[in-house]
Amino acid sequence: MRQELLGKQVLSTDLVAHGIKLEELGYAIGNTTTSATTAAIGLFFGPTVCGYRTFVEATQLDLDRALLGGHEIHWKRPFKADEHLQATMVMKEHTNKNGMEFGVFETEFRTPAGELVQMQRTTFIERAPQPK
Amino acid sequence: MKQIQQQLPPLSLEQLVRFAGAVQDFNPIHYDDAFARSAGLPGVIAQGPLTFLVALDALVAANGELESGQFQVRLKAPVTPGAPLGLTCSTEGDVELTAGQTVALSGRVSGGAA
Repeated sequence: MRQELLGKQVLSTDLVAHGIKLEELGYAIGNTTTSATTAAIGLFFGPTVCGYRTFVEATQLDLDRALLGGHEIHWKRPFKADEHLQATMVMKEHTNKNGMEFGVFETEFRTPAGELVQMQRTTFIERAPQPK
Repeated sequence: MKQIQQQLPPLSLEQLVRFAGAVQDFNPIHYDDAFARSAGLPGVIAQGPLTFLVALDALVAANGELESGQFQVRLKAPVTPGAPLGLTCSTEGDVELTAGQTVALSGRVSGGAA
């Protein structure tokens, strides 16, 4: 992964919390009485807000060696159907340990008025290349 | 947080495909069994964020709508479709999700009901 991205903006995009997306995600979460509520909290996954390929190309994450190590969300409120948002992602940490790379990416979701709705912190691990 | 110890329905391949579409994550390890095996996995595995949301959904169901909050996890092992899932949560908010005998996710939740 590109450690020179440390401290820099990786992605930025305008988004809409489409009602149909909330419904689709609710179905994916499962046939529960709360899936719609949960979908409104977890509608977006920071690294894929521009499609996962955009994130992979921006970070040069090697998918053959990459693992999602951790994820956290801090939400001020659930997303509202059809509200407009802007998402920005910054690489906050990059470390090497035992031949593995760890990258921490922080994504903020704000309204056009600047209200912070949610922050996500996502950790990717890139395992050491296998010896040939 | 309410103390929880419960079994959850196993994830289905249909859920993985629905999630892939919803978040635009079309990595074939989440829907193509042959590809996943060629990548050294036991077969198709669930997306980490879907596993995260399934755990969060059980926490929301137990505690009521969490108007604001935090949920932080470490993903420790992949979840395969059909694996029996179990979720525990302590009153302090320590969460663990198991898939079969394996701990798939552990973390902490906090938040306030609406």
